[in-house]
Order: sequence, then C-alpha cells, then structure tokens
Amino acid sequence: MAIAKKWKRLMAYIYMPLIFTVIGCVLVITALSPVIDLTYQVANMVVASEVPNFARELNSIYVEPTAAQNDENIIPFDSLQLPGVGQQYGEISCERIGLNGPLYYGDTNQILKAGVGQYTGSFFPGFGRPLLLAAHNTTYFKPLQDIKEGDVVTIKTSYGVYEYQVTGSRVAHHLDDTAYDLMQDKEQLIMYTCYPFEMLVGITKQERLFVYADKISGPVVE
Amino acid sequence: MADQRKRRKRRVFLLSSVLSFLLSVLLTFASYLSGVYVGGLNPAFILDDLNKSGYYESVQKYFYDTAESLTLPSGLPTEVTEGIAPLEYVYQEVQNYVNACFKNQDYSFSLKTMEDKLNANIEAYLEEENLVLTAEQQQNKTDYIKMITDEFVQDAKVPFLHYFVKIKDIGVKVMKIALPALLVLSAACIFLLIRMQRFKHRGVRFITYSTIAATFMSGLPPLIALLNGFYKRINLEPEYFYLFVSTYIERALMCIAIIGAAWCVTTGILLGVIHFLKGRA
Repeated sequence: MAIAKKWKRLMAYIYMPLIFTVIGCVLVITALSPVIDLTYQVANMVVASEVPNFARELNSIYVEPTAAQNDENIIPFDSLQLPGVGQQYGEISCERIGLNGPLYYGDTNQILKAGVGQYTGSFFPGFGRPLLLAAHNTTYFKPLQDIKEGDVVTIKTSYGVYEYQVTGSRVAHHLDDTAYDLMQDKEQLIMYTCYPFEMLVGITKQERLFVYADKISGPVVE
Repeated sequence: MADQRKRRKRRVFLLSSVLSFLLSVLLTFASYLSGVYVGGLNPAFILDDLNKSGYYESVQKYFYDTAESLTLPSGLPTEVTEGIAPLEYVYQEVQNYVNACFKNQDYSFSLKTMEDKLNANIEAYLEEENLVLTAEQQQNKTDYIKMITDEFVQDAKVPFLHYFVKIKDIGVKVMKIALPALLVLSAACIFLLIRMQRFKHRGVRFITYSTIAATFMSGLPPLIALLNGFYKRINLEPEYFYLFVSTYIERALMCIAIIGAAWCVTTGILLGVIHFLKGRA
C-alpha cells in the first residue's frame, strides 16, 4: 500500500507537468491560431531545405561536340543536359573580331567576371527562340566594338555547333526594353555590353550596345 | 466526516493543480521574455555576434567583389581598388555605425581615407600607362570614386539595425512592466499553494510540478529549434548578413534554452527542499 502510494506520488512528477505542458501548448496554439498559418507560410518562403551555399564555384558541363553530333539536324530534348546557373555549357567566338570566351548560364557578377553570361529568361541555342548574352565591355565583349553586319558568331555547345550572322546593332538605354524581344518566334542571338567602350567615359554606363544576329546553322532541339 | 474530508482534499488538490498550472505558464512567459531580452535584444550581444560571425571579413570580401564588378565596365584595371578598405577600417566603421544606431543617432562614414587611396591608385595607374585624362574623364573619375564609396557605405550598414533598435526600445518598455507583473503573480501563486496545504512540502510539490512544466515549455522548443537548425537554412543574402542573422537567432534560442535548464536545476533544489520538509514533518 505504502509502495503504491509512493509510486503514485513519483509518477505525479511526470504526468502533472506533462498535463500542464499539453494544456499550455493547446492554449498557446488556440490563441495564436490566426497567425500560425501566416507565420508558417512566411517561414516556408524564407527557410530553405538546405544550408545556403555561398561558395558557388563556377563549373562546366561543356564537352566539345563530336563530328557525328555536328551532322545531326534534330536533337531530342530528352537527350540534353541543361546547365544550372553558374555552369559553363558552351563557347562563343567570332574569329574576325577576336571574340572568344566561355559561355555560362546566368549573368551574375561572378559569371560576368569569368566569361559570357546568358540571361536565364532567354533560351538555349537550338530552341528556335531568342538568346540574350551579356559580358563586360572591357573583357569578353570588348571586341564587339568592331563587329559589323555579316560577321558570323559561333556558339559551340555539347550538343551541337550553332552559327549566327550579324544583322545589325544599336545603342540603347539599359532600361529600354524595346532593344530586345524575348517573345519572338525566331532564334535571334542578342549580345549586349556596356557602352561606350573608352576608359572613364560615360562612367555610370547607362547605355548598352546591342548586337543582333540571326541563326544560319545548327541542329534544332525538339 | 471522512466523506467531507475526502471532498475537501479533492477541492484543495484541484485548486492547487490550477494554481500550479497558472504558475507554470507565468514562469514560462517570464523565461521567454527574459530569454528574448537577454539574448535577442542585447546590444552587447549584437556586437559580439558581429565579431563571432566573421561579419567584418565578409563585408570586406563582399565590398571588394562588388567594387571589382563596378570597376570592370569603367575600363580601369580592377587593381585600383586594392587596399582601399583594410579590415581595421571596415571594423571601425561598422562598429561606429552600430553604436550610433544604438544611440538613435545618424552616422556619417569617414570616407576620406578610402577616397584618397583610390585616387592615388588611379593616378599611379595613369602615370604608369602614360595616360592623360580629359576634363570629362576627370569628372568621371570623381563620379567613379563616389560610386565605389557609396557602395562601401551600403555594404557596411547592418541591414534592419534601425528596426532592431526600435524593437529593442519597445522590448525594454514591455520588460519593465511585464517582468515585475509576472514575478508578483508568481509569488502570489507560490504563497497560495503553500498556504492551502496542511503540510508545506505538499505545496512545494505543486511548485515543483510548475518548474518541471516550465522546463518542458521553455526548454524544449528552443532545444528542438537548435537541433533542427532551421536558422542555418534561412535564405538571406549577402553572406555576411546571413551569418549575422543565423548567429543572432542561435544566441537568442540558446539563452531561452539556458533559462529552461535553470528551471531544471530549480526543480532539483525543490526536490531537496521537499525531502527536508518531509523529514521535519
């Protein structure tokens, strides 16, 4: 009897606080219920599933296309390995003006220091839609100051080689969205860089030189 | 007679349980308030978090990186930004800015040294390359230097610090009213619990239930959050701000968890008191 009483008293140290905790939690949840849902949704937006990686080393998925790949006219979409932001997936060149550089997906500061960057809202070569590329006017796109109508720009990707012929160029304000049309149904290569090219001229570099080129060869992705 | 005694005993038990529950809620509130005040709204901890999270080094790295990106289109070599923001300088300026914010004052960053160093680097480059600037380029050089120093000011400012100071001021006001009120109410509960029981150790037993519940309610949530590490997955940029915020949240959670642990220690002491009082009864 005495042991049972003692045991009951001992157990009270567990169940009594547990009951208090449960009641307390229920009360708090009930009181905060109008904001819990909102807080949860906001938290889901702010908190990711993984610890953010700030190192973000640039890397490459680019391999020189084989001769057999160059002969293909149609490439199935399923067979492509699409790049992630910060991955090099090709090379861009224009022999006449000495343009040559790695082509990355994305146009962050880090990418633009390493090569030519593709705006992520534009399309990949072979997709039959516009391709918007950017690079610094003092590094990879410096040769654009000498580009002329009729020049051929080559983009090599792991799945094929694409050629584009320059059709024109224009200088526009960087906020002027009439300078390019990403909705058009034509595979147009649009390259842009800060303008003017001279050192310490137009320091705020509000203007951009846009160069337009139409696709003349290369496999189609379907 | 025995029936009446049993009914009275049940009534006292029920009332003691309610008071004990109330006490546990009051203690939990006090724990969270103290934890947030000490760990979350403490200016000394903010400065400490900035040191521990490598904030100054990250600000310096981020600034140099951005300055390089701003320099590239200008046509100047990126080397002109070398040495314009030494770590001691970044440290001093951020500290001055944070201290000014805590005092609700505006702070003007001292940029003269940076401007002079940047100007000297540009002049050295121009001399080395035998370049002479036109009047337009001279003006643009001044604009470029301003652009770089503006970038430094933007990077050195701790985001949301002004909001933090406002929240802290509100927090101090709340603490001044809420904490004494919680303590008075807790004391009243403790007094009633002891007075209600025939034997004092029974009253202390109910207080012990409260401290155990307070340990659960104030210690477990921050402990779970610390183990879960959600604050390490917060999506914030740039890196230095992320590091600061995650260290700050970790510290605040740690403070609440420590207070929860303190209730655990209190429970141990109370159990000793019960044992002592029982021996005397």
